[in-house]
Formats: sequence, C-alpha cells, structure tokens
Amino acid sequence: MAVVLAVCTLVVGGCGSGGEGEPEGTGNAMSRQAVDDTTVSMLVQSQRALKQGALRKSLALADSVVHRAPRLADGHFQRGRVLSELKRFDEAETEYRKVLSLDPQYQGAWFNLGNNAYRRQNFEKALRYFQNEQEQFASASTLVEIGKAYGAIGKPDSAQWAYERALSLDSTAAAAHARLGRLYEEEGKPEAALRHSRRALELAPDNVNYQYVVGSHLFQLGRYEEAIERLESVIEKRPWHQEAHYNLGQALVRTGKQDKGKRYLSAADSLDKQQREIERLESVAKDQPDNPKRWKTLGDAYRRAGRLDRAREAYSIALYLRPTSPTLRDQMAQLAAERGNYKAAVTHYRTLLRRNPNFTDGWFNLGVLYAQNGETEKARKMWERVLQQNPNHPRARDYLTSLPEGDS
Amino acid sequence: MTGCADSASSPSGESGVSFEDVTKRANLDGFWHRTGAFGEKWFPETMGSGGGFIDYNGDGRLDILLAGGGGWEESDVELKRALWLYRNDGGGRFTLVTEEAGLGGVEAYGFGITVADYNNDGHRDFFFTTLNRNLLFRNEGDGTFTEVGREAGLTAPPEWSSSAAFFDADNDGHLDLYVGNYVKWSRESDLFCSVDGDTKAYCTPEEYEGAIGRFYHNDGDGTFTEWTERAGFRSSPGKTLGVTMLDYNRDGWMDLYVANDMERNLLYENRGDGTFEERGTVSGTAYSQSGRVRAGMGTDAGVVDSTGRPTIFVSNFSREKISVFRHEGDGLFQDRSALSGVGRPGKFTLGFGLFLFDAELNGTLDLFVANGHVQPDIEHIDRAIHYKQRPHLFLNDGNGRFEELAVDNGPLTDSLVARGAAYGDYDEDGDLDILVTENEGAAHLWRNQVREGEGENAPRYLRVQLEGTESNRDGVGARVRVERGEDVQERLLRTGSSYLSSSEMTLTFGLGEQSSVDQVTVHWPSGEMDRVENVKANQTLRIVEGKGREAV
Repeated sequence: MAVVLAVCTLVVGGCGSGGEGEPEGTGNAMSRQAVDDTTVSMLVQSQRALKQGALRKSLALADSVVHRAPRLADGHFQRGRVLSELKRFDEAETEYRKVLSLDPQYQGAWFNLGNNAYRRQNFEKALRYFQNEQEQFASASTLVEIGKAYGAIGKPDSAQWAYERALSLDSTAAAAHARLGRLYEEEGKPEAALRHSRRALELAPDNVNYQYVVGSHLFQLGRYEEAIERLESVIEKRPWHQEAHYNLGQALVRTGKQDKGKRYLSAADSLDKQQREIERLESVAKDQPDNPKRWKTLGDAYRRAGRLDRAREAYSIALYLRPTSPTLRDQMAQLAAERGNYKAAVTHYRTLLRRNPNFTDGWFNLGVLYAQNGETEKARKMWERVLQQNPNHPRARDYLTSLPEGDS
Repeated sequence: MTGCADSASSPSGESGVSFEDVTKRANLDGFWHRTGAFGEKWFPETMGSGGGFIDYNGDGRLDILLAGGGGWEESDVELKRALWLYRNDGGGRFTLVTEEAGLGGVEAYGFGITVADYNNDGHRDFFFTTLNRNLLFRNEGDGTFTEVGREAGLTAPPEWSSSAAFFDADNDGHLDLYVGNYVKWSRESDLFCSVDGDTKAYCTPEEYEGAIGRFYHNDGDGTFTEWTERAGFRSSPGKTLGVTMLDYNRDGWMDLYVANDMERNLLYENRGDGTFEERGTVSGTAYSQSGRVRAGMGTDAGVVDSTGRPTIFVSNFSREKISVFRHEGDGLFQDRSALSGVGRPGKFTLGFGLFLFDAELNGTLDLFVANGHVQPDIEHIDRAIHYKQRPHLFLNDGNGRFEELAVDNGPLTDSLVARGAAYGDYDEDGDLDILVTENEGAAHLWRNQVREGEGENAPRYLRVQLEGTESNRDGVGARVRVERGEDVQERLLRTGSSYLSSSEMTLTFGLGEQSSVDQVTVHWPSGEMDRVENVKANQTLRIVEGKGREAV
C-alpha cells in the first residue's frame, strides 16, 4: 500500500559541532513522493539504529530506502546523517547535495552540510551553508551556528550580531546566551559574560557545560567560593572534566586551601595529558577513517577517560568497519552495560554469541551482566557454558561457586 | 608608567608612533636566513632563527648579529654564514664584518643569540644556540670573538637548544646561564608527519620527546659548571622556546619563566640561594585560563600597569590567545589575556618574537609580537590562518589595557614568516627601533619615527646604562625606578626574553612631555642601591654601581 510520507521524525542529528547539547536543528522531511509502508518502516528503523549506534544496520536500511525510492529526499538525508556519523564527510556531502537537488527546500540539508564543513574546519564554507539554511528556515539554532562560524573565522562582531539575532527570534535559546557569554569573556567583559552564561544555565539547568562556564566566569571574577561550589558539582557529574579540575584547583589555592587545590591541579595535569592523547588518537582516526583499529583504540581511550558516549561513537564506527569482530561486539556490550543500558548490552551479547558461539569470553561476560542484574540462574547457565568450553576457566568456576542456590 | 596621564598618548588614531623599513638603506638586505629545506621537511627547518643587537666593539653604537640558519649535508642549499655580524658605522649604515670579527668559519645549524658580558671584562660576549653543540663566543675586546664553549665548561652533549638567558642566580656577581632545550630530534629519528596521510608535513612537538633545559653556574673565572640538578631545573619537561627573567616577589633574587611548546610553562622561583622551586602550575602561569597546555613561543615580562606588579606575556600558536599573567601577590597570577585586550586580536596569529618596550615614549610598556606560521600550506587546512602574518603592535593605555595600533601602510602591515624580534636604538635618536628575522627570509630593521619631525614636541626619553662593580658588570637583574612626582616607571635589566633574540641592554624610559625626572634609583643584584636626582630628559645616563652617575 502506498502512503504519503507525511511526517517523519527526523532529527538533524549528531551534528552539533560544539558538543554543548544544544538543539541540533529541526528536521523536516515532508516528502513529496508517495512511498510504500515498507520504505517508511525502513526509514524509521534506520533512524532508530542510528540512535543506537548500529551504524552498519542504519546505513543498510538507508541504502535500502534509497534503492526503493531513489527520488525520496528523506532517504538520501538519512544516508547523509549515517555517513556523517561515520566521519565520511565527502560522501555525506554528496548525499545532502542529492537531497537539495531533489528538494531545494529540504529543511536541515544546508544545516547538516554546514555542520560537516565546520567539523572539517572549513569555517567559511560552513558559514555559507548555515546562511543558506537560515534564508529558507530562519531559526535561532541556525543563527547560533552562524555565530560560531563567524567566531571561527575571526569576526566576533558578526558572531555577536548572530547570537543577538537568535535571541530576538527566541529569547529562550540557551545556546545563544552561552555563546554570547563566551564572546564577552573573550572581550574582557567577565560580568556580562557571567550574566549570559547564567541565563543559559537557567534555561538548560542540566547542561554540564553551562554549569562549568558559570563556574569558570565566577572564578575569573574572583568569586572563588561560588566558583568552588559550581565546579565541584561539574566534577561530580563529569570526573574527566579537565578544565573544571584546573579552575577548581586554582580557586581552592586562592582561598587558602592549598593542599586540596594542589590535588585538583595535579589531577588536571593528568587529565590534560589524557585529553591530549585522545586528541592525538582522534586525529589519527580521522586520517585513517577506514581503519577499525584506530577507532577501537580511540574508543578505548574515551572509555578509560569515562567518556562513554564518545566511546560508543568510536566503537560503533569500528564495528561498522569490522562487523564480525567478536571483540568489538563484546566491547560494545560492556560499554552499554557501563552506560546503564542493560537491554542493549544483552542484545549485543546475543548477537555476538549467535555469530560466535565459541567466544568463551562472551558467555562469561554475559553471565557477569546477568549476575549484576540479579539474574543468578541465567548467570549460572552462562558460566556453566563457559566451563563446558573451557573447564579450567578459573573465574567462571569461582563465580559459579559464589552463586547462591536457586533461581533469583 | 604608573599615572603619567599628562604625557600618555592614546592608542591607534591618536598615537604618533610609526615605523619605517630601513633594511635596504642600512645595508642589511644582503642577509637571507636559510633553513636548508630540500623537501624532507625536517622539523628544525621551521623554527629558526633569531638575532639581536650587540655593541661588540664598544663604540656606543648598536651593531646587529643575525643567525644565518643552517644546511644539511644532503641538501644543495648552501649556507653562506652561520652568523652575520653587521657593524654600525653611524648614519644609519651597517657593514658586514663577520669574517674580520672571526665569525666567518663558524659551522652550525643555529637558532638563538643571547648577549651579555659573562666574564665581566667590559666587552659584550654572546651565546649561540644550535641544533648540536652550543657555542659561547668570548669578545676579545679588539673587535674579534673566540669560541670558548668547551673550554668554558659548556660540555653538554649535542642537543637542540632554543632561547637562553644570562642571569645571576645566586647574586655572586657572575652571570649564570640557563639554556632552553626543545625536543630530541635527529635526522635518523625524524618522523613522517602528515595532514592528509600522503604528503609529509612539518611535525609538531607532540611527536617528539622534550629535552630538558640546562643551567650552568658561572664559576667566576671564565668557566661554568653545570648545575641543572643541583639548582632544581631537572624537572623540566623541555620543549622550551622562550625564557625570561623577573623578580615577581621582589626579594632581590632573580626568578625565571620558561615558555614551552605543548608542555606546561614553568615558573622557577629563586629560593634565595641560587636554587629554584618550580611553581608554574600552582601560580597559575603554566596553562591557559581553562588549564590547557599551549604552544608557548616567545616570552617577556614587565610592569605594564599601576599595580607595580610584573605581568608575564607569552606568544602562542594560532587559535590560542597570547598569554598574559599578572602577579596578584602571594606568588599567584591572574590570566588577563582577555582583560588586557590582546587575547582576541592575537588569536588568529602564530606569535614567536615578543617583547615589551615603550614604542611611543609615553611612559608605558607596549607589546610587540612577530608572527608567522610553521606550515607553509596552513591555508589549505585552516583558511582563517595564513602562513605569512602581520606583526602586532599593541599600545598600552597605562592601565594594562592594550589596543592594537591600526595602520594602513608601513612595515607593520607587512606579512612575514617572522621568528625573532628585538628592539634597540640603533640610530641613537632616543626611541626604540625593531629588528625582525624571518624563517627562510630576510631580516628587517624598522626605524621608529615617533620623535621625527616633532621638534620640541617630540616625546622625550631617558636612557639608562648600567655598570655593575660588585654586581655583574652589565647590571643584569638590576631594577631601575624613574620617578617624577607620583609617576613611577620601573624596568628590570634582563637578557633572554622574546624568541631566540637579544634586545639592547640600555633601558629606555619614555617621558612624554616631561623635561626631567626627580630621581633615578638602581637596585643592584648585590643589594646595593644608587640614586641619581634631578635628571634632565633626552640623554643617556650611565650609572656605575657604588659611584652613581657617570658621563656618557
């Protein structure tokens, strides 16, 4: 049955270049072509898979949509999004161009092109793309991106204009306030900077970056006690936040708490080294986007740093490049568990063990996952399976011994 | 200058300062810095070189010494001279005298020049940092130099050194030497760095292990002993490019600030006995405001506002602001990069040579930064950044707030691949001229015209030369205060600073419209103090330790 694809909940997603949890654009996808139910379903599944980090599946579904309905802009748009996530920016750009050739009024296409260009540090190009989006679909979020691009090419006055314009369109645009705050900070106006960063935080109280920026502005103004409170809260939520550690350490030293301050400064030093290593690995992965080892190494580094969302992104790319790797699937499962996503972790293990039933570590780790979830009987079965494959597996034996009798 | 509102000229439009490129007229246009590059893109090629001012023959005129760069055995590029010494003949003309000064046969891949009279014989010597063995040239007092590095005890193994500073760490009257080292690099260990994965690009310091700096104690008999560990310099992570000195806690013992490239910067506080404690991180001078490490290049320090406290400046990589750290007391510094006004304009340039000087002669220290990128194809990678870049001249409003001088023509509009930068009054007209060196390029001499054509209205100056007796002969480390009423200017006589370069050792105080000052006070490193009262403007005052004023 053919239906008109009326509303598709596309989010112009995964493209926020600032990583501030800002709104990432408003997707549209008013299709002008009639498509069948299966195609619509595939599109929706592709979006869902992308959200879960199942990039290969997401791309396969998007490919299928394009194959079934080559003149459907939404299919190409979705393909562009997946390719962006895979850091295949040239191919993503081609897809977005196809979108615009099919539907010049497609909301989000110029925006995502802009984000891709920004990520590749081609700020002037990014600016042009964002401006194109803005001409067709004026929005505060696009103006914020325009402001960022202006800032990146050394035009702070224009950036300020863009942020103020964003606020005139939507006075609740937290990202615009946050960015204005940064501009004022750069201009040597810390009071104005604090005013805007505080407003951003009022509008998005859960945004940890905004919490940090407020703390940092308080520190710059010499309001150390207030800064300490704020920065401690940031570190509680993001233990890897190097800047918060540094500013907190400095604030503590300046309030006479030398020893505690030095401990935070020392931690900041270690985190700085860790961050630099991550940046190096990011650069290596970007240079060799087809090398799964590079992405896995990057994912490992993110994971060690506690940055689990980023780790998932990197592992997802690695897994896309090497879908049959049991080790990678195991890593994805462990990561899902660490992120508190039990269901996803189990799904990963089931997929892994279906394809690689002799992967003993998979059975063992699934057992651990079950045990941690209180499902002792399931855990017992997994570890017994481990011992069938490897009777000398010491940890499986120990764990089995430690299990209480009976089902949970 | 603290206060001094009646003589301060405002930045940009109202400033009378301008510069004229006199390189050719001065006969310096024969110089060309060589990197030796022949396609291999070896790391050292991007970093050199420097130069500076030295009155090598004691005639009172500033001569110019330039590092010529280097060559490789594998390269066809010929290095004419490792050192280029130009004698100032007066009248704005220079003559190349490298060979007759005994410097013609020097072989080195050279970087930095640091000038001082290390043996207190009244003749300016210099230290030359290189890619291999560093060289110490003793001035024989007859217009020639002899290289005495090994016999003077500078026996470190070959290593890539950058900026150095002579200073009296233990106040014993003899200048010690700190040598900043960069990374452990050799042709054999050269790495293939690339932006696109195929084409080789110049590496950045992250790829190499840092080489620690070295400290040499001057034994007072013309020789040095390495005291790197004993003096507390062993913990350095290396990757040093800039070194400056200051006495931020005013205890009379010289402290040292070291700018590092992608390592934390270091603040060595003198414990009061010639040994040091590194306090960079805790003092707030090691990192950016957000605690991130930066690519520090050149550095200088001075009092730029009415607090009387020193501020440290560091030039950094493109997309990193110029660092500005003001001492707030108790050994803690505040990052004033944004507040000072130099942060934003400096964000899109890659600064190397950097120094504070009173360009306008209005009594406030202004800031000059020489810029130029290290990757020739940077514009393909980041279109907002250029390989050749204009320098910055930031004028100080007297409160530590700077505004970039806006000019439409003249040498300050020239885009260069600049590295070294130094100042000195080569034409003896009382204002400070600028020397800039380029990578694989020319040296540029820019004459300051701030006093030109103004007649009686020209801004006035006072130049102060020091001669230590109990202290080191050059008076390095002496703190000089010039006072008129409540207006106070203060300078520290330092070596090192900037990047690979040496500025003149005469201190210049801008007096604006003032025709005299009430007193000039010298606080010598020995602890002695000399004071000269009622000093007229527009003269060079020579003060000998323990004797006060002496005619020049």
